[in-house]
Amino acid sequence: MFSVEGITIVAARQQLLSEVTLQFESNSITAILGANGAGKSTLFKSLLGEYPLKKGHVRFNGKAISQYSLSQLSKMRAYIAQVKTGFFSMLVYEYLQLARLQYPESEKYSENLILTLAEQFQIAHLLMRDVTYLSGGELQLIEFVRAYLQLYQSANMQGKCLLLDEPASALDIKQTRLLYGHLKTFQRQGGTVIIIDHNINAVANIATNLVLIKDGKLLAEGSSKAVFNKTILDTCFETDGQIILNKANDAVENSIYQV
Amino acid sequence: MKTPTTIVKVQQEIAQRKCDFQPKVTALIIALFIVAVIALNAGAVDVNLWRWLSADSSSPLQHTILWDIRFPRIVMTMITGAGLALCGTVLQSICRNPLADPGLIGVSSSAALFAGAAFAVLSTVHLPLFLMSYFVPLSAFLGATLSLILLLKIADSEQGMNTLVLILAGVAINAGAMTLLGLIQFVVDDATLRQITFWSMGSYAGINYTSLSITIVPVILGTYYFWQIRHQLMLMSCSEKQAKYQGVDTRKIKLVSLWTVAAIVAVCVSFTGIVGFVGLVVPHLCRMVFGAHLNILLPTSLLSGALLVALADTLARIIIIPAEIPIGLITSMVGVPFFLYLIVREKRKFDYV
Repeated sequence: MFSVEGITIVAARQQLLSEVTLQFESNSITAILGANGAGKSTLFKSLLGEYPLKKGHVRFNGKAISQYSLSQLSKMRAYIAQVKTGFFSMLVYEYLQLARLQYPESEKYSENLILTLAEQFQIAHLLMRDVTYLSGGELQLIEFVRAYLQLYQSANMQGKCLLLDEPASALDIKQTRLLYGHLKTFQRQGGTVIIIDHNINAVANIATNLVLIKDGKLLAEGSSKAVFNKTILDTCFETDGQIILNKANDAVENSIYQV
Repeated sequence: MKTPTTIVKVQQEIAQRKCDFQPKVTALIIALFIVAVIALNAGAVDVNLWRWLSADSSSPLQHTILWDIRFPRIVMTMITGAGLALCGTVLQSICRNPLADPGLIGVSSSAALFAGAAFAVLSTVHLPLFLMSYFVPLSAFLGATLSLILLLKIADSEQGMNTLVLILAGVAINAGAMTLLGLIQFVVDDATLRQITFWSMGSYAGINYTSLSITIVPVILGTYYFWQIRHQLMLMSCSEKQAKYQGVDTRKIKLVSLWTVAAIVAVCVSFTGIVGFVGLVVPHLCRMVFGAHLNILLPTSLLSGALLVALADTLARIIIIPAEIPIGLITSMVGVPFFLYLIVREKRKFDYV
């Protein structure tokens, strides 16, 4: 779905990324892992086209992202950042309505769509609240629904990508499980997820693929099964840990990297 | 079951809010008409509107005063009030700051600077008659345009327009314009100094159909444009990056919006001097009373701005009959306490900045 080739990004004389080349598979949940400052957010931002690239390419479905219009891109990929307050007063419902900006449709249709999805993702009780009064966790869940609405053209999410930058940092355990559950739902509908998260154990739980970045370079990438092992993780985080497997089976979804 | 009830309740509330909107706007329009009638009636010369309307003929003096002086003046107050309130609403959304004001971008002070220079020139150089009456407004407009070009030069680039740099550049331009104006005020003679001072304080005296028709154009065009992009503006008021990721061409909108705001402020300031605080106070009042969604805020700000400036000008004309208080003083006298109240109220939210 997304592919980057040989991108090098330098800012303020610091090499943020060097010659990174990788492919993000369609319909996968890929987690980008790495120590702080390793270059994860930089990689993310280049996927979003935030850096004018002098060397290398970023492609979405084979086409360079610079060749898509802003409107086209908005219907194909949605970005969820760590939220901060400071919005102007607005109802959650009105905020979600804005996500449908690029779709010419009747107000009744978007109203029904928003209500249906709000029910499905369990945020219906938040719809009539003012966004400036929501907690961080509630905002994050709203952001997910907003991104979903932004991409929604049918229940088939093939060709759509969600990009999440540390979405669970403000969430408690229950909310994290809820959000990750929604991400899996999205994947089941055909969508692709790329996620940065510091809680490597929680995110490895749902990730099908892993990408490890160290010092601006690609350290390892591949299926979770292949990558989630002691050697690679030790190198990535410069720690000495061990993998604790689930007693019942070796499934990587249930193994924990403990330092 | 709990969940269906929640959805039904939400649906009901959505429908209810839609219903609430219409009567509010209607009330504002009616209020506007009432103020217009009061304003037409009020003034230094006694013109009784009802007697005039019902009588077959009226004295030519009354006719002139009513239609050549008062009517264009009052319509001008409404148009400029609406225009300034509109600019305030838009700038607050684009700058993501509830304290943004049309004066923020430096256009009004630059217009004042060039108007001051024009007064200075007029006091020393003799100009042909046809040029004289438009010299000051034209200079003011030129100043406004030049300052916007400078602003864009500083703040805009191919990568996009940084909003923080925009605000800071506006501050710098404001400071520079005020300094230069101070210099001008220092060198001119007393009579010209007085002219400049009163011009800066704002006045709707001398408005005619020509100035009115020139002013109407950018205000109407601006209203149309900003109404068309109101959803994009709302997205930008949440987060500019996110607006871009959701398909909004933020740079283009900022450019066009700035030009439009500058044009509206330029014509307003050129003909009437500086009428401050309207662009700051009106959007806030409307947010508090009617709601923050631009579907509601845009129309109510327009109408409320028109209402308030028409009222202020009426007060300006009748408080010290037969003389007039500069309208800028009245809007400031109301605006400053309100501004302070706003700061205190917003302090809580500033903690997060």
